[in-house]
Amino acid sequence: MEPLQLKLDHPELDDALSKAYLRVEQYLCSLRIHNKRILSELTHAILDDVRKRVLGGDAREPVQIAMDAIDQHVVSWYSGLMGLDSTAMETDRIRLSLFRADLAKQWSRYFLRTGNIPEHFLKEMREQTLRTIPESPSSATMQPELLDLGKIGKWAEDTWRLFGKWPVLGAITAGLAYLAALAFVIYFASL
Amino acid sequence: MVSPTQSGMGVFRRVSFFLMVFALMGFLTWMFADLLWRVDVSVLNIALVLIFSVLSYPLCVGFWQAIIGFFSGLRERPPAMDQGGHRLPKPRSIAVNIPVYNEDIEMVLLRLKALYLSLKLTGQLDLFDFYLLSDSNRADSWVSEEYGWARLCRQLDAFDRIFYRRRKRNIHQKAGNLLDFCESWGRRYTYMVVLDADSLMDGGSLVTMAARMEADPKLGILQTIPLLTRARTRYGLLQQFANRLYGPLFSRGMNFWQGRKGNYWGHNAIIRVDPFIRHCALPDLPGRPPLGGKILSHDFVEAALMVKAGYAVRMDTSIGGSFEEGPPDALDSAMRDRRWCQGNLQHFWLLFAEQLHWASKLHFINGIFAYAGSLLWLLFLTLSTALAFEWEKSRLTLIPVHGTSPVGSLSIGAHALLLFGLVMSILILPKLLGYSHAALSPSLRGRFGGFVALTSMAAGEFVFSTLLAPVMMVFHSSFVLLTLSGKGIGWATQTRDHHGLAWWPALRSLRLHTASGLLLLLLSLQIGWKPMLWLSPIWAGLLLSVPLVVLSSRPARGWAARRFARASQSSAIEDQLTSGIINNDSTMAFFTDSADGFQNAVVDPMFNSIHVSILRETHAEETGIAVPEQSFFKLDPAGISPQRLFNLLESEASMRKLHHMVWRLSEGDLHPVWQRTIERYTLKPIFAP
Repeated sequence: MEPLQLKLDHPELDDALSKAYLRVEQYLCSLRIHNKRILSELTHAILDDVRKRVLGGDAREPVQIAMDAIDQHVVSWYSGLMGLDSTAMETDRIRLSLFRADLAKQWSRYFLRTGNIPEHFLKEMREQTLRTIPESPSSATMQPELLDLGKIGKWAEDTWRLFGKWPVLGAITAGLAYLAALAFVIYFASL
Repeated sequence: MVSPTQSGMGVFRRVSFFLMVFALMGFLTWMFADLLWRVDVSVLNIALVLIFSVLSYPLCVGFWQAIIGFFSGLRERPPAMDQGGHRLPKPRSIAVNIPVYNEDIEMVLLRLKALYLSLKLTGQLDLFDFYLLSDSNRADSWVSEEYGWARLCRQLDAFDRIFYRRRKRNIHQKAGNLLDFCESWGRRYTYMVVLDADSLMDGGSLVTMAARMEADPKLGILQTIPLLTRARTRYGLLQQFANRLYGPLFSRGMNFWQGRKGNYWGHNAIIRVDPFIRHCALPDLPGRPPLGGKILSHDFVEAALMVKAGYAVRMDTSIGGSFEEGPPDALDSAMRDRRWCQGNLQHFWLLFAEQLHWASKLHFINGIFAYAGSLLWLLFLTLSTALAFEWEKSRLTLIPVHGTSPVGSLSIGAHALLLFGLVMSILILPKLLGYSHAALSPSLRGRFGGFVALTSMAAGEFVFSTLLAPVMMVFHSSFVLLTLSGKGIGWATQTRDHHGLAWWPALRSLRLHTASGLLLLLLSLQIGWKPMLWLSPIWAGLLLSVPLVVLSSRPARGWAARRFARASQSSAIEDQLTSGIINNDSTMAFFTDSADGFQNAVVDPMFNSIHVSILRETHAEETGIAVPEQSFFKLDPAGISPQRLFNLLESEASMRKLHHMVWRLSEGDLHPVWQRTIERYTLKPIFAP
């Protein structure tokens, strides 16, 4: 891999590229690439791309250029492996494929590489969806059967309805019940 | 099928059991009434006798259940774990449902993994599908559940076997969650196993349950007896020990009278789906919450409706391998009781439902008594102390007459002592029987660590539970009063961590208890030192409630803790499930960072892709929220309303855009919280793959 050629006479650019370097490294870590060598190689390759674009006149922030570069690398790598049209690819679906193939655990050395990719990895990478629920639901309706609660139930229902309509009546009843309980306690205490 | 003989036996057992209960209640009440009326007949005395007679009901039920459980345990075979050549249901005809609500998802998934692998070992995994039914309404829980579920499926290669569904609106809590499952996918299955988030089950037990359901087409619900497991606090271990020592006794005794008209506890049970869908939808109760409206404790009612529909509900004490985790401390236990109390008190209305079987109504009554009984005990204690105080204050010499009971000719002191001894024996005998059952059985005794260890642990548990009883009595009484006065309770997640309670919050929760203990001590001292001693277990428990609750909430350590833990977790299946997988499996641990769910879902590429994919696959409706602009990341996420964050989480377009944006913004455009969330990613992995 070609080494990075950062121009030391552009300290601002140097600083911005350092930040981009860090962000690329963080993003690759967030994709669960934890092998130091692989991480370093991929980061350098992407930063090299960023540097070329900056020097080629791309006026955007290097961090933004770097993230776009990662996405482009990932999309072209994935669509190339799968033989798909790269313009129709969505990065979240690719990330899901990486997750489903358990990239970090067994396949990180193949990430963004071409040639000699194991068929098993390719097969697992083809999964782009997550089915959370069974394909065909089976609809049913659970309808409660009427339970006859007798006169007490009906009386309670009617009372609640009445209190709902006349809240003052409810308040007076509650107050009377409280007074009755108080009278009961006072009666016992005075025995 | 149920033969008429079986059915007749059930009626005979129920009738004879309750005749024994009422006979003992009658005798106790007679003794008590006689004691009071030998001195005086007053309104207060009559009230006390009435309360005592009602209170003696749960005592007598517990007493007879323990005795019957003891004797039936003598001839019971060890738990049956194989399906012994019975016919099994067809593949994928059983759904294992795990409702979750803002739970510690790592632990839920580990339990599910343990069950899955255990089923795989039986060779019958093919019979089952698994559903993680989420009602979580915290962004953190939601995002973690999705990620955890996807990782578990990948790990077990079970993407088409373990399903995950989150309800956008959690209508009618757990009962509504299961209803939603039944209405959406219930018809695909013949049976459903209902587990709690803290349930742990052995695969072999599940297969046995399925075989038993298949062998009996009129069996609607088969309930196992879950044993408490994996307790780590002192309180938890004591509860677990008591559950192991005394639980089976009561379960067998209860099973004697309930037979095929049993109860359902809401988890660790298998249900025949078709009758459940047709007959077990919950009706609304008269009035408004907390006593009316939607039914909270749905399990008892579903069992009653199943019985009403002509199906059996059976509790199977012979199936082992069924476990659950209990609350870590007494306050958490009380919080759970608060919910159960409200739910059980609601069942009052159903006592008037003519169509329900009287055995089902007995379950309702027992459930109501579990809480209302405490209020009656409190009332009884208050009135009897008041009566004693009144007698003492009058300075009159009591002149008792002869009574009508067999002990009516004894002195009043001897009569009182005899009655006290009788009530105490009825209270203590079940524990004594549970202890004797273990002490007399070499295998059980060995499991509890030998005779000396068993005896010392049983003694320790007895002292602790005696002191804790008045504390729970005051809690339950206040819960009943709160519910009756119209103060309902929301739906809370049960605490399952084990860090111990702090002193100050405990003191705040228990100030009423401490004050009542002090008052009772002072009052009893006013009467005399003898009543003070008689009442000492009550006032001491209340007065010491704060240290009792706080110290028992601490993680258990040392020799005694190890002994308790070993004694109360001793089956090979349990060891295999817990030690083998749950305690030693770190593959499900992925929260080694402190960012919250929303930040993870935005920043982390894997969380984000899983979340977006699930929104896409479930055709989630767009919330109509505007996709945020760059300036969104200048804000501290903690300052954004949870509702807005939730709306963003529900929007596929927003989540894709936010992920795209956050990584492209330079440091100056990000709030430090977002910057830190990105900076977490270093060579040191913060998420498991």
